[in-house]
Amino acid sequence: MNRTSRAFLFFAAALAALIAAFAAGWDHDTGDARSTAGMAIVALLVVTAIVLVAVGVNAVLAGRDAPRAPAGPRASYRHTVPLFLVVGVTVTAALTARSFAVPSGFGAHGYFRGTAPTEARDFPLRHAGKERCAECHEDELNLHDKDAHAKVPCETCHGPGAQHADASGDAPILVPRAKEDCLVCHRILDARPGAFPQISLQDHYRFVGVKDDNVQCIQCHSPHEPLYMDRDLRTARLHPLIHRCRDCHIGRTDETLSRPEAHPAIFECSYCHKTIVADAAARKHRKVSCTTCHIFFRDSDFAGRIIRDADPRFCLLCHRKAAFRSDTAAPGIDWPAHLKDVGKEGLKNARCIDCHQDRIHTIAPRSRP
Amino acid sequence: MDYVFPNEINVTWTVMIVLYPYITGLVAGAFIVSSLYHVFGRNELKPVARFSLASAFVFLLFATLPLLVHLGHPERAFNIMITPNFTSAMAGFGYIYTTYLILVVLEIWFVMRADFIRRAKGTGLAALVCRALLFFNLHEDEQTRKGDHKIATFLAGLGIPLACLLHGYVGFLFGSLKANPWWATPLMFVIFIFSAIVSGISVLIFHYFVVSFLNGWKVDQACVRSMGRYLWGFMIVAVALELLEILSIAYKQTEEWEVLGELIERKLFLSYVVLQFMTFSLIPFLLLGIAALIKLRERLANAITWIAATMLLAQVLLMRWNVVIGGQLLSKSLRGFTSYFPGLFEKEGVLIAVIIFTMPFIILYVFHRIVPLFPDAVPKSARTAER
Amino acid sequence: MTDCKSFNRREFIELVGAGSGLLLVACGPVPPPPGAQAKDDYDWTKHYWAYAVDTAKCIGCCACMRACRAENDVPEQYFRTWVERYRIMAGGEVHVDVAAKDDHVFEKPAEGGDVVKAFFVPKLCNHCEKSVCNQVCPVGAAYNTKDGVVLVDRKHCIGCGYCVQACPYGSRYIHPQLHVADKCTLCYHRITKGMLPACVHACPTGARIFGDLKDPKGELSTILNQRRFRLLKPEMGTHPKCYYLGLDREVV
Repeated sequence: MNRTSRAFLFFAAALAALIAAFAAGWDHDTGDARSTAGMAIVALLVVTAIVLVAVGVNAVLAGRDAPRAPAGPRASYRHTVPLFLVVGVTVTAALTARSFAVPSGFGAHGYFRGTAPTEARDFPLRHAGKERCAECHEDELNLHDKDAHAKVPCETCHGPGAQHADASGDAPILVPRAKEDCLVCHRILDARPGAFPQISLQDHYRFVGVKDDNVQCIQCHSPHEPLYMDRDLRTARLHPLIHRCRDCHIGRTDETLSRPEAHPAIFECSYCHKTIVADAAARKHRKVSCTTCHIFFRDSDFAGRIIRDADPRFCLLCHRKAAFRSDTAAPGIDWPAHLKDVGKEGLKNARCIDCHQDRIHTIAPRSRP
Repeated sequence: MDYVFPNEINVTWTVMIVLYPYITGLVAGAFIVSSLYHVFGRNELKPVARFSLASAFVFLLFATLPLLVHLGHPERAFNIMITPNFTSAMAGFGYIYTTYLILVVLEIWFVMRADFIRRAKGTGLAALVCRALLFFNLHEDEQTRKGDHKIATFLAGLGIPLACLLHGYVGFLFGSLKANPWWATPLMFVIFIFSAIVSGISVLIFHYFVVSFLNGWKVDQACVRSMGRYLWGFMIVAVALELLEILSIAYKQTEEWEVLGELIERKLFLSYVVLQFMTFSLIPFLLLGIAALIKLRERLANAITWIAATMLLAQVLLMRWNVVIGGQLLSKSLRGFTSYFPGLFEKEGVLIAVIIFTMPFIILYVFHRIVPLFPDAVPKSARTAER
Repeated sequence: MTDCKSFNRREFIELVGAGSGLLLVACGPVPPPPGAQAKDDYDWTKHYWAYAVDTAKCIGCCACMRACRAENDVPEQYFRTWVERYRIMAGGEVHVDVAAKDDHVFEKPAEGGDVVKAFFVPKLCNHCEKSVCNQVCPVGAAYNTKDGVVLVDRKHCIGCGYCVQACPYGSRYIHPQLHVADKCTLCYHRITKGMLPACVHACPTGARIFGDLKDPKGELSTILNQRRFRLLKPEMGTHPKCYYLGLDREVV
């Protein structure tokens, strides 16, 4: 066997040993060849392959232009020993040191530090959640959960509350009071879904008779009870007729529900409520349209009122005395003072229509509970 | 056409990442020239063989510097060798770079052993350094020289694929990045390698002329003519590949073309169309073609070659800029662009880039003071009879 | 050395071979990693977290952006989640913007025009199953947990930025103070305690839905079985786990 064959055989044997070591380094759980030992072996494999190729290339080319060395002394390599020794020892030492430098737990669950996921869980919680708010603010939550903002989490408006909850209220929490804070959600933006209540502030002021631009939303709308209703919102909104769209339509058309003004006017209130409409036309509130108080579809962007059971707070939306009301607004009262004036001070279930029924219209007896 | 994802407003890979492939490109190109002599026996390149090897070495020394400056945690840089994730193209860098560095150091040792011995026999600090490098074994005879030659040739041959790997992996890194339509092309690997060779040969020509001029040496005409021809050939391939890539995109006009077309017409018009192609590719192509095909007076041919080489140095730098920065200017939303101007004095700014690029030349000079890189240089005054 | 006994090629190759063997031994012994870390009562093999976005419900209030920023100390000018507003004009132009500044509040857009269609699209890291970011991390600092969350190991990341370039969705960034890669973690510190991610927690309209794909009766699985949904850039082959209900063709 000549020298070249022996060299190739030696390399082949080394390759076989490397492959065996690689197989031993295979991670049987994940089928992953990236265990630290196996990876270094693969790298060596690649280098060996390159060396083999280079040896072959060299054998072909080295003889090309160099003059054929006839007899003459053989090449000596003894002087290269210290150099290769230094390089070999350094590389070996470095590769050995590498194995010890691998962070502990690396590769346990995949190609990453095994403790990293645990560390990723070790961050402070900044948002507390409704249950923790309820520990102290149950009253607000009772109102909140029955009104239009029922699905809006506390921390959406109040910001992260864990610190405030942990300190039992001694740490501050955001309390948004400015109208800007409400307009974040409720200003009109063309990208907002049509069904979502949006207002133009100027139009809204005009509608409710507010003349001062500095009036804040919360002066009329409690943020926890924006619509003052204590009923199931969905049924409060729907008029019985609309409940049964299927009377005419096979499937519900959500488009019309969100932009009902687009639906052809198929009925006027007087179609069914002739008596009431005629009656209202002769009374004090004749200039107020039916839908201002009774809403089953929106006739403009800023109407969002519902009346149910003649809750006095509803009437007070227009009739509450306030300095910022313009002179053309509806006559205003202060509710507790008014009750006192009529001798019903402290009466729990006092309603405006108990006395002022005649200002609006006759109320037909209920056909349904 | 003006929306970028909010996280894309700041460019992540700065001028440092433009500089890094540029420097490794110079390494690869210089090494190829050296191997042309040592492996392929292009004897006319003998005058620059040593110089090109040393140039490859000093540029290699500084190749990691832009990366270290760029890394968020340079102190963890060794993680790339401790826990390399081999599904990543970048993971190979640590081992490839180290292997290649060892190889170049070894090759210098073997190629220039005789010079080291000559210097070691002298006096002074340089002599002591040389003696230490030789492990205090100053013996040489025909046998050792033969051994040195054989190993050097072997290493030079082995170094060619390694050099291609060292520089090519960067091209592969860009070319395989599917998220970025400006980068994702299989041609990127090859384009990077060929333009690397162009830049390497250019820097050698550039530097060789400058050094000869400063020292009053005569430039070896056969060597320069050969390098000029190789440069012309490689630049034709490199520019052809670059053009092919852009023509292919422009022809296919898939969804990304809308934003890529605007990238070329608007954001990169100056640096890509005007400078990289029309100025710094076309003119060197013509100049080198003239120098290669037409018999000119020596001084004119040399001047043309030098100007072309300098322009090509700029062309390759611009190509790196247009690829790296250009790809980040365009948003992955395919709807807009951001902007980037490297600060002058920032951590990853122009000043640092200039310093990093200049340092290798200074170190090369130090190297030359220890062991002369042009042992056969002939002063201009000693003209031979042949013109 | 005066002894010039020639050191021929065979001996040289044998030396190299022995050296290789030594290298083999050196690479071999690696201290075995310690056993799996204690995960207290949370078993990550029992969950596979995913996310859905109902674009029809988003009102662009950006409470999610504010909540995420507060919960995770997200640095200014960078975003772990954001909301895009699309306005499609009568001539076919599309204007896209994000309420990137300050408190993240969408205002009426400066330029008017004839808007034909407009909507909001919340975006976040898609927590892809075959995430490119994990593939390209050179040091193994980007990884998938067994419960389907894509995370960054802050202590191991070198800040090279390769993952930032590789993400097709623009979800990643380099943290300007920590100098490591950063991104949405699905509030891993919350979901492993049975809570919702901050963005889902803060959304007032239910446009963001979080759930466990391993729970076939859960809210997320039910929605995915009933509604039509799409993925962002499916051609990238990343298998994102963020499902968009009602995704418009203009959204990339």
